[in-house]
Amino acid sequence: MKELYAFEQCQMLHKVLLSEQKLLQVHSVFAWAVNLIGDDIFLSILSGRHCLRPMSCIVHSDIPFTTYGVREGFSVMMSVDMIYIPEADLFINLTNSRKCDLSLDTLEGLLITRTLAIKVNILKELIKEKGCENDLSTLITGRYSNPFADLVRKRLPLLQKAIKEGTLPAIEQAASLAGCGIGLTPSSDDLLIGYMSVYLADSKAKGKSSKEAYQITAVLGRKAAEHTNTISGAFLEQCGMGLLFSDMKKLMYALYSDTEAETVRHLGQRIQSIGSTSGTDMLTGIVLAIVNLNDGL
Amino acid sequence: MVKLEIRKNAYYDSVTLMLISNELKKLDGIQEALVGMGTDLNCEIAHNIGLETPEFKAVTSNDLFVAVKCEDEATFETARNKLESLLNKKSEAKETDYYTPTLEGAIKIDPELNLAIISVPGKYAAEVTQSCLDRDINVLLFSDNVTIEEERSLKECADRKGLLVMGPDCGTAIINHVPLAFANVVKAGDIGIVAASGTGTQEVSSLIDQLGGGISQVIGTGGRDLKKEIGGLMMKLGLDALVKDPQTKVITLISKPPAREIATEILSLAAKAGKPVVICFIGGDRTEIEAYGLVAALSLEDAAHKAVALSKGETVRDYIEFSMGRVEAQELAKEEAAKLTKGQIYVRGFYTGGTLCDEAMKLMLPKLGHIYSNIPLQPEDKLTDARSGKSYQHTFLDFGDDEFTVGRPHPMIDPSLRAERVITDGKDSECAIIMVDCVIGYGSHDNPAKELSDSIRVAKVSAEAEGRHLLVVASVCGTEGDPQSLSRTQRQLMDAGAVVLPSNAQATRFVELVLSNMR
Repeated sequence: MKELYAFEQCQMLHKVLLSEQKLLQVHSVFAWAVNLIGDDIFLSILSGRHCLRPMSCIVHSDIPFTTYGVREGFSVMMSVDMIYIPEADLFINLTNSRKCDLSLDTLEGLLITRTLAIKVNILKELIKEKGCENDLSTLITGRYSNPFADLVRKRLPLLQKAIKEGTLPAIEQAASLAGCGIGLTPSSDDLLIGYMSVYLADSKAKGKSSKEAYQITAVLGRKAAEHTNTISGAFLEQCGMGLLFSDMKKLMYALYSDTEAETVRHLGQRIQSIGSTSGTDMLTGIVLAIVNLNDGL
Repeated sequence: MVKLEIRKNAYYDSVTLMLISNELKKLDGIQEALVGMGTDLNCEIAHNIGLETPEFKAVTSNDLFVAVKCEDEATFETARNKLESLLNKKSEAKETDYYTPTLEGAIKIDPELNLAIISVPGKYAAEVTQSCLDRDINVLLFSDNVTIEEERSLKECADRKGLLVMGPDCGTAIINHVPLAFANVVKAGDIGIVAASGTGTQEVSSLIDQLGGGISQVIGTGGRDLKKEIGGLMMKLGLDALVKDPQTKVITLISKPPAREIATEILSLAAKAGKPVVICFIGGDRTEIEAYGLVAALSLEDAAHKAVALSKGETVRDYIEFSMGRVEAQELAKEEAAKLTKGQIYVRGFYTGGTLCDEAMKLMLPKLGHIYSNIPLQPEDKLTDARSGKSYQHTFLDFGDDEFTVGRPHPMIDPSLRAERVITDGKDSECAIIMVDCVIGYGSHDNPAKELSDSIRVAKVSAEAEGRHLLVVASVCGTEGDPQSLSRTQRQLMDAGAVVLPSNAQATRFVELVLSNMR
């Protein structure tokens, strides 16, 4: 039996496993990530090349997961202490992993600072630097034209309307923005994640009712998931519930606090390393949301 | 025209999808291309940019689709090939180091798999084999130390289900032209082999290849299959499989002489095969075989010659010649014999292949009278403590036998122990001739001739320092297509001063000629 040790895990995952053991299946396998799926749960085992994601753990391993013999459809047993994939004879020890809170709700001291505009400009620079003809960066830079960006541009007002009105029909219309783009997580999904993250952080920074904001994003995430694939949909739902990638949570804090502007650049670059265009699309969503929620900044 | 390729529930990372998208657009004749997960919006975009086709109705959010607008079918085919190569490139990179750690895992990956190679410690081998049989999977059981009771039970189960258990201790098979374990690179052809002998099979299949013939299947049975306790279950099943195999036109059976009742059963079945069958019961009685209308082989080499002759529709004759020519062999033997001194009277045979050792002893016993060995033909010729003891008179050793392999790899993988013995016996003033085999092919040492050649040089030099000539006679089992190359291996041994013959049988015949010419 091969044993790997998780050094970090999402606190929410830990809480879920504390209450019950899970029987899951391997949903998809990539070199540095394995996704597991159950009746009511979607979670990931990641290598240290990734930042921690909601409902995931990160293990010490320099070897691709494919090498361990993990394949789609394999059964998975999971408890608070371990993940075991019998058909690959792979045991992941969760006992000593650090439990990280990825919930945006627990971020304290968020505020709108005068440097927010500077920080947004830094993000725009990053989008300009790394944006390409296949992603949604053109919504910020206007440099390229592609059918995905054209369609998202048309539907962006629906998103703004949903956030403003918070009604179910408006949210449902906005959710139809999901599933647009080339990648595994289509570009518009990544944009929505960036947008929702900012909406929650911005609301908190402005002292608005977080309950109201979460009601909107939870429905938006859930409805958007219906328009895209399982993996991307899981990220949207998690984000809707206020669970963010660890680097995204740090970036939200850096944007809505006194943190130095250069930290935003560093974290923005880390976000950009996600996927092919995903990171840049997320930054695009972040910038669009900040600008929209703050009177054009 | 618009064409759509759908991959159901296929997840590829974004980098791959982006690469595919960019590469397809660059192809000549592609007017538009779109790659993405089959979400509603992506399908809508496909429609908006003129890539609509009714087939989009079958696409779901979890499917990968590739839509292209192209001039004709040929262009679409080019695009599909490009897609395939890009996805396979990714898949190869993913699979490079992939292995399946459990049987359950392997079956999940490929539910259609129907052959397993099992190499686990003997005490677990029966259980693992049974698991495979329970799942209707044929087995090549490389492991040894499986009890004969376990072997019987496994083979009875396999026989009931029409499955093969090749083994235990089966080292060679070629199934659908795929060499398994120790096997050689041979041409595909119409000669099928069922064999209870590893190096015997390698010798026959390699010689068939050298003679211009080809192999359809090689089914191993394990060395004990034709014992009374097992009843030749796999030999019979293998024979039946080759009878039914349309690619097989000539069948060759290889084994030590079986128990009498088993031999009768096998020969009766072979006689009804409806195809020519060559029987090589090494050292067995040819009269009995021929009484069934079957073709009896005098040696492994003879079996290969006869199988190839039958395959080519030529007349079958006993082959007891020399490839170099009988006259030439006579002259060379005379020349070599003349160099030997009066006190040099014994032959030593040091083999890495058990069957090759057994065959050499059987062919030479009439000439030598007694051959002392760790696998003796006569009980009284058993050599005690073969590994650490000295050779006695005519001594032939199988270095692959258990007492030589305890705590070390098989000599075909690690030939060092045999090489040391060549040097040791080269110092024996009564030793006239050392016979050696050199088995190449998959599984064998990268260059088994290297260490053997070095030891031959040392042995010959030390003999010459004492005023003796040491004759080393070698044969190489393998083919030109093997990773080590037949000719390169032969050349190394010749350069070391060995006389190299093209088969084990010719090597023994040559040594007999030398012995006949000795003073």
